[in-house]
Amino acid sequence: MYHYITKSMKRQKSRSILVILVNCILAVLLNLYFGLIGSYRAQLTNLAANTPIKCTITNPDGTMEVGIAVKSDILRDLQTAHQIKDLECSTQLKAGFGEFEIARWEENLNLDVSVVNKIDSSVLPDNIKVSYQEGVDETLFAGSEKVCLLKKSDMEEQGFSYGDEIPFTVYYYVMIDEKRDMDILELGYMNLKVVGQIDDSDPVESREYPDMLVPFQTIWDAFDERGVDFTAEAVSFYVKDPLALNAFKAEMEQIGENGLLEIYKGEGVRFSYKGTALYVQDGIFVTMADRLKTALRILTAFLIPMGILVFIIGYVISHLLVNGRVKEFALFRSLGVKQPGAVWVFWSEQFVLVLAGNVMGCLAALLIGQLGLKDILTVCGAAFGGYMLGTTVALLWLARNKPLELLTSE
Amino acid sequence: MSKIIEAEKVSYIYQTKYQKTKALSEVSCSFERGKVYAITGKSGSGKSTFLSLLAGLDVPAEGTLYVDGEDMKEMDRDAYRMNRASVIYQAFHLFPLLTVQENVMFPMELQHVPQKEAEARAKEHLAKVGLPDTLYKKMPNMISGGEQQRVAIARAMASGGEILLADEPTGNLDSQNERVIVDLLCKLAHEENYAVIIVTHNEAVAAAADVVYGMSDGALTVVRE
Repeated sequence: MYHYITKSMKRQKSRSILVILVNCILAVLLNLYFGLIGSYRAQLTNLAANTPIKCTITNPDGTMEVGIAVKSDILRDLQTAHQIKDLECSTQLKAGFGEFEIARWEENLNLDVSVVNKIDSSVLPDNIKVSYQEGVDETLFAGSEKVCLLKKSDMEEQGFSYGDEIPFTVYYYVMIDEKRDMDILELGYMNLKVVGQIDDSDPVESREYPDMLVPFQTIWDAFDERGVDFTAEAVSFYVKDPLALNAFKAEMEQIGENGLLEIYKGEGVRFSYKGTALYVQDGIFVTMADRLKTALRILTAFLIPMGILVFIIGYVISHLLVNGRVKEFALFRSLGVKQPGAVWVFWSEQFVLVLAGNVMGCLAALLIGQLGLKDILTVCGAAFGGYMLGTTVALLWLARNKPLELLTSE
Repeated sequence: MSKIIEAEKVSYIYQTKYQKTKALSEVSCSFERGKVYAITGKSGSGKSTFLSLLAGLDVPAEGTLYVDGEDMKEMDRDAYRMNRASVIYQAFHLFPLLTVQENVMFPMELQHVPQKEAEARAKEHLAKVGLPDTLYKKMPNMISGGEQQRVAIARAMASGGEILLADEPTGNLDSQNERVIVDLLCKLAHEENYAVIIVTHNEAVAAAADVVYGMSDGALTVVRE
């Protein structure tokens, strides 16, 4: 039988080459198809990484991102939210060295304090460098230690050095009416250790920057200790997984339902609460993701038809090929070869040719380089399986005929 | 001479989705080694159906076929065709992808006869049927009809069986080749003790047979014994 199969493949070169070529092309086309799907999927994943969705708490019409009052309840919920990352909060205070009465604010209240949980370009201009005491770095802003960074010039003027505990009197701003008029109230007296300095020795930019930086949580704790309502002036964060935008929105709405956020939808504004809103900058991402998802949906919709197509191609080609060899099949039976054995001869011949075609297809797909080896092997395996399934059906269809009928038919 | 095949009230019905046709009706007869049998009759009379039953390619709807006393229904009919009974067809039916010699070697390959031995025996059989050795490496489509039929007979002999069933073996041949093939079949029966059963509507072929059966509407009658 083995000899028969090899002779049959060798002596019917054109037929063998046809089967190999068809399968090679089929494997390459399927690889291109799956490569396209893979490429769209990669674009979608990369889109999430390369197009972060920034969210900012604004005033209700989205025109102000700073100078608003974001309540501590909201901040707490955002701190524990699962669908956000890189939460940035800041607020502004006024402070002065030592202890003094509010009546003497003009000569004492001369420090602009930025309370932040992270230092970025919105806090300090790029040319202003920050240096720290040994063993300390910028991660201190994520904590709640009673520390601060002062301007180099102030430190020199006051004769401070790293590690000194400096007494401050701190004041905070409060909005007194809807017209955003502000008042300033005393928070109290507190000691902060100097652990770094803001190098203002060679300021190039005219942009103003703070005299002092303090960790956000440190001040929040100080407010809580004194029973004063704490608010942040600017809050922004990123959506953790842009592809799970609906889960993110559900979580934000959940925060809204807890009474913290009052859902308000205006142009460019998704959610709001009592004078603030959440502005989600997802326009570009959503548009691009929608396009990619639509393309992916269309492509994947063809997955089952593609499988059926491969099966049909396998069936039709095998049917046409074996149809010209029915007498050969019947002769096997007539010579005493059992039906499964006769089917096996034709099936294994097709198996070898289809496998050869798929191996060539794999090599071609490797050269194209759209998919990795594992994916190429999976795709070629699927093509091979689909085609051979069609071949099997065609051969079983042939096998149901009675040998003598096949041999005596014209 | 011993009986090799015996048919006992054998009937066969062709069944389609819409109708049933009785192709054979209670056929009883027997075949012995060393004799040539001819079964004659018009087209559609049931001759080829009976031959397919004798070849074990199908089973009777009713009645029993015995081979050396063994019920064919109980036998491995594929093994029977591989080792004991061979069929020769009007259209020769040689494997188009194998050479003359490979065609004759094929039944031996199925019986797992070693390659060299199979080759030697194939040459022996081809010589017996009078085929010149210059044709051994040729493909079937390169030789004449008479030569192809001789190759088919050599292939039948190669299986080593003792029953040779021929379905219109001279139907595609001229009278000269017809004579050669008939003589060859008679020689196999009389000299090598084959039971040769020929289905034919050719009177000349029937005339050469030792026993002639007539088939009409599925019923078998003895014409000459």
